Amino acid sequence: MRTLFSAQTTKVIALSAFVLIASGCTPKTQMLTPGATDEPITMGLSAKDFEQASVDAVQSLLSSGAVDRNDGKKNIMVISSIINDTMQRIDTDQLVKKIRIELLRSGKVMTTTAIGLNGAEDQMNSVYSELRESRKVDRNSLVKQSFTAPNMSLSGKIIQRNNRVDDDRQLVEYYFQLSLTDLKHGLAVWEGETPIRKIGSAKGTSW
Amino acid sequence: MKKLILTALLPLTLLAGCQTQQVRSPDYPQLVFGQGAKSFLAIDSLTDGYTEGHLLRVSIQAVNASSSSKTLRYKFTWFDEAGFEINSLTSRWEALETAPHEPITINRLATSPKAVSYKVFLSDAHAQSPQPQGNNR
Repeated sequence: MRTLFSAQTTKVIALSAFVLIASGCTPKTQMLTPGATDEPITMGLSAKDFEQASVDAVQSLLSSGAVDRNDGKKNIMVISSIINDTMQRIDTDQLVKKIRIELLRSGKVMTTTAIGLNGAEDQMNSVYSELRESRKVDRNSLVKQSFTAPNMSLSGKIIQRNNRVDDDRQLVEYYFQLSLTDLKHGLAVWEGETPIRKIGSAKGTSW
Repeated sequence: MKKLILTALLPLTLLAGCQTQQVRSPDYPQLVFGQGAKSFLAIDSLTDGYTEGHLLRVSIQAVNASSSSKTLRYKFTWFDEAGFEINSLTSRWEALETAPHEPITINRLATSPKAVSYKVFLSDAHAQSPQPQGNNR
């Protein structure tokens, strides 16, 4: 009995069919529109949560008047420790950077990149002084460095607590806690906390 | 005769259904109502002014006038003196759950001292097109 297709053609058809079926099953990659109502919600921390915490912190901080000055000068803020006490591996800059951008935009606070708990955030601040030793660099073009000391420090913690609601559901709570310290007196001049609570399947993971 | 009336009304009904329900309140020209918001949101007052630190701030007092729970979505947009939009983290859609007849207060502060005017977009999160379309100014 003769077959309709040769063995090779059958293989090609079978392979093509497999590829077509496989590509049909793959979820389509798509861009998310900011603010879309159908934005997926996860049990873990998402960009939306960091945005919410940042907006809350900046609104509370600026409306408190803690960074207002009458002498026309700007506050210089240093980023102290922001502790990640969650079960997730997160970069706390997702929170801090947004706050820094908004405070800079307000014209009231500038953040030092030359001073920090673990040295300069921008290491060029330290490396710059070594340029004086280099013969390749025109010394007349060098500027004398004079770092401005911070007068305020931002510190905080992100906390996660998981609680079982019933057999099927769990409650995951996140707390974004921040403090702004006046370094002259060592006093917290502003403190804020944004709780974000999510309820979902107990089978899901939040890390 | 009935057929004639129905035929005449049908295109009008369809047109009304298709239009984007973006309404600017005559009492509060800064507020732009997107689809659905006007049906449940009653504005009590709109107050704006400057903080001691010269930042523009806005407070909206409203009430969910409907007898069901609603999710209000809102977004603030800030403009400088020349009318250009100012980038801000607050210029994002936010949601607020409201119970029937619950009073609502929305307070926002422009994070830039350049902000001199604003628009607030309001919509029902569960409406088909929650974000007002077209010219946002």
